[in-house]
Amino acid sequence: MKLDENVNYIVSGLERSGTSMLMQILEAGGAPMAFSTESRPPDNNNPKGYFELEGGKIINKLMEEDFSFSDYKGKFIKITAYGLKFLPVGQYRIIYSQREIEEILDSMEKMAKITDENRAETKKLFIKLNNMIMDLISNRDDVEVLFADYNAILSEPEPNIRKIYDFLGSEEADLDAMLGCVDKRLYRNRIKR
Amino acid sequence: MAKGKKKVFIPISLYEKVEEEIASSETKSVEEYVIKLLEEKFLKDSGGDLSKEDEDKVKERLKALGYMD
Repeated sequence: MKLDENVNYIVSGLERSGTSMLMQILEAGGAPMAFSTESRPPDNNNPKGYFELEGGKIINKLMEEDFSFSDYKGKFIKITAYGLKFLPVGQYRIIYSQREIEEILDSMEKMAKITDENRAETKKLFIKLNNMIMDLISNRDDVEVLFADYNAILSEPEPNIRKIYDFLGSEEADLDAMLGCVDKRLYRNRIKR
Repeated sequence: MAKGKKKVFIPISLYEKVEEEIASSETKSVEEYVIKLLEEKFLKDSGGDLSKEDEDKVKERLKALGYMD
């Protein structure tokens, strides 16, 4: 599949919001991707990999204005939410993952191997960050954005992955393969009813 | 009444709409839905940008998760 080589394609969202799953879906569909597994290989927190560049430290590069977007035009890269604050002027198409905040916090605690004593504060902080970044990208003239609901993708894959397929705007994308890579077994931090 | 909480009355029709809304979601109760909605509203209204202090806390969390140096 070929994407527009004038555009930078980004998967984003809060950390642990399902950005890696979106990258898996896009890769399965045949979208050109850029990531490295060497500096941050798959582990128990992300068994299928992190799909990150710069060993997951891309935010530092963006803050230092030391990241070359021109090297990644026409390909999907992953930049988690806070990094989008430092996005230079360009031409972007962003798929932004949204997930139940409690699940995100559970997953963050598990990954950092901590019990967050200030969880209520962390929750407020990340809701605020999420709102700020969603407002920011929704209001930039150089950004087209699709908000993808992680929980909805897992509960109803077909209509929700179809939205991603439509956003790609390429008939070469393999919708069946995209659907096939949703793995409910990895949905480990779901809030139990 | 649960400790640290106040009772609020809403129309039955609205209550039922929320029940329908959450039926296929992970939200456990109407109360949880309303709390979440109000928290998000007030957080959103409390200012668009993160304060310097908030931003430093975000960075701390991201470092703990290995997303930043």
